[in-house]
Amino acid sequence: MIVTTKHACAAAGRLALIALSAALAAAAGCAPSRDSERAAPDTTAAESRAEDLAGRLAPSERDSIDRGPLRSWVDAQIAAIPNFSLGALTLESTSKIHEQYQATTLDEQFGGNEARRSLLVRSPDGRWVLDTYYGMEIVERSGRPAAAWDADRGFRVFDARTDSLRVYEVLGTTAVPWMGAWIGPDRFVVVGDAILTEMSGQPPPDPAPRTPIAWLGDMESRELTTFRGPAIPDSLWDRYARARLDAFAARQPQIQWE
Amino acid sequence: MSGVSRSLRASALAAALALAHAAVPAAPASAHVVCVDPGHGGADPGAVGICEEESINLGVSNYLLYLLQHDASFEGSFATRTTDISVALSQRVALATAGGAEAFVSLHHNSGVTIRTFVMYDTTGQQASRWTRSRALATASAERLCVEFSTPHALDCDGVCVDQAPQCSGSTLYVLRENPLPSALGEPCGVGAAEAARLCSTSVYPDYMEEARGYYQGLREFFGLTAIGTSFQAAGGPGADTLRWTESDPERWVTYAIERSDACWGPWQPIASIVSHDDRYTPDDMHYTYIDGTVSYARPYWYRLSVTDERATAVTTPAALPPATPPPAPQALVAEGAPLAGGRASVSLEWAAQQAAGFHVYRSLYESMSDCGAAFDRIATTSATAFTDTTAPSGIPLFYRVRAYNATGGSEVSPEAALVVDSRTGAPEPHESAASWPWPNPASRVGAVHVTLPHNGHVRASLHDVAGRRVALLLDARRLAGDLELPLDSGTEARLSRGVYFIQVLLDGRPLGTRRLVLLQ
Repeated sequence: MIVTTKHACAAAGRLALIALSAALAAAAGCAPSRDSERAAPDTTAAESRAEDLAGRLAPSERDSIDRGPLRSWVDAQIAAIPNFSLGALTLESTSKIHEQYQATTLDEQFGGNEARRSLLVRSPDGRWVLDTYYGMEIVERSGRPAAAWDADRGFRVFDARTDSLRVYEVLGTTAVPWMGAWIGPDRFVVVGDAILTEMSGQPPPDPAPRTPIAWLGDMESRELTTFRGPAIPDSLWDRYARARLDAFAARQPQIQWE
Repeated sequence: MSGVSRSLRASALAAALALAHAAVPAAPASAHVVCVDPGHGGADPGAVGICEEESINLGVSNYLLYLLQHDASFEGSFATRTTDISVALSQRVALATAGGAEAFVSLHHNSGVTIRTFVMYDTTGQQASRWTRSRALATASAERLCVEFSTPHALDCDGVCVDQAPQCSGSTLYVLRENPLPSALGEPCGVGAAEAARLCSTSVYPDYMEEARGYYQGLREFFGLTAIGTSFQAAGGPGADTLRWTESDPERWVTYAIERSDACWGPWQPIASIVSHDDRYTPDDMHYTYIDGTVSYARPYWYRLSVTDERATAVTTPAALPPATPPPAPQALVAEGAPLAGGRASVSLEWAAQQAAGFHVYRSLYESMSDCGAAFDRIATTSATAFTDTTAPSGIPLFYRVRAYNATGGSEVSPEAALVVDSRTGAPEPHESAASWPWPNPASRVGAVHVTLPHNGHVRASLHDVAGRRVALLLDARRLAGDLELPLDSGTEARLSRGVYFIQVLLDGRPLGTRRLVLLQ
């Protein structure tokens, strides 16, 4: 499913921005630049984000959450996109998470494939299991496990309590989730890149640009909030694609990423 | 890493065993064998909207396979899957090469209406000569899809792109990158968006046929086979239908065979054979006209033009003749099967009908996407309202339809009856293990009914009225074995009225059964 439904909800967006900014800033180990704050279209949201980044995230909570995967994504955006900053991420849409309950188990999905299982991310209390690599299989190349990509990508959340699939967001051909992390017992962030699929409900320009993208999911409220970054210049695409592979490799060096 | 290596070796062994047992056809020497690859399947539904992507991929694939297998130029073509099963990416490529294919076409669908329809190819991992051919295949497919699409898909349908380009997938795709064959992967749009809601609200996805024809014509173009399909036209008139077509190569000498049917899926009756350059039909060796003065009824006729190894189909509008008064379509078609020796089955069919002089009985091995979407063969003609088919294969899905006829013509076809006859002699048929479903019965029309699943699997449950029309898709997802609740207010926009319905449940693509259900209140 491609997230195209747009419900501009200022309050929800503000709260979501707070959480996303906190997660990403904590991952990057830095606060957004003043430039980034000027880039934010919603002044209230920008203030809330600044307030949040000033210390809303308690150190004890931070310690309980592994934001390592997000850090490599943030680093890659900074390295590959000129003048990229966290503040350049703007609210694109909020939508209900489409819960696609399926009576399938983690074993059915991943079997004994340890390389594939190593990419799953458990929530802090172990209730949820996040898989941001829907559409990837592991094959053997030169005696090593290697990533094999299908046409469609997406992310999924399994309920560890019932060992069943609860959320199934297939993003389609145009999006590439890189990795994800839990920022609370029921909240997760997935980051990646994707083609711009709409602009204010209208078709995007042709050709549509590819941008950094982040999804903030809340398993309690079943809300999914999408944030967009600036367009990746075509001239820098090769550099960006290499940065993506480097980030994958940092996430799981045992796998050959292509 | 040792655990990883063990699991990889186990996977490779399993794949090799599966390949060894796969029914990959031998490639005829003179034909262009194509491997059609419907994406996703089994536990992987792909993009999920109103429909699941994997089922649309499979529907288009089955129809494309039908077109290819009925064209001598593509004899021996095959698919990586023809049912709802999981196939690993590496196995898809291995099947294509093991089957002697010359081209590989992977079928997918995008989920947003604002996404361009595009066909991808890959430029990494293989020699330049291979990806040049892949680009030609992708270009031909995209151009022909654009010609065939008559729906909103026609918007922005001209895209061809390299898979790793930022405006495309942004990644190298395994089935394109690792494939030694010329390979293309199509992504028409519209699985999950509002348009799909309309398309999928019926039991068919109307664009199956257009899309499959697009790929088919693209493959003909890719292999240098002249496409005559777009030039063959038919028009109805008073007492006669007029057929026109254009010959793209006026220098060649061929014979045109014209066939006619009163249904898009046949049976086809030969009505004329015309030699090229016959000036009774062509004034300039390019444009041909043939008038069929033997039409009998004011109803559409389908015409088929075959030229050596090429074939095209055109449909007339009803001619201005006295209207036909064919009998109504047979109803309540029921099929029950029993295994026979030698992998065959005996299938007993019964139906209800009025005002009919006789009946044609049809069978297909493919699920019917629409009247024209399945390869139905007429297997019998009878004057009774029952027939026993003793030539059916066991262990695979069978689909039956019946059509009534009288002196003025044939009726519409009956609703479909589907079953699988278990090939193990004496073994119970799947529906017998859940003999008591659905319950409660009668049920409340705003309540739910329960069915019993004999094993885990993908469940597709639908509710049909007494005319066989689907009024609700109650469920289309994987479920665990045991009790399964199906809310009756799901999958339909309007509240169901009181009355008699039929609930049909497919488990992993195989019929669990079709049962009568009475709704009250």
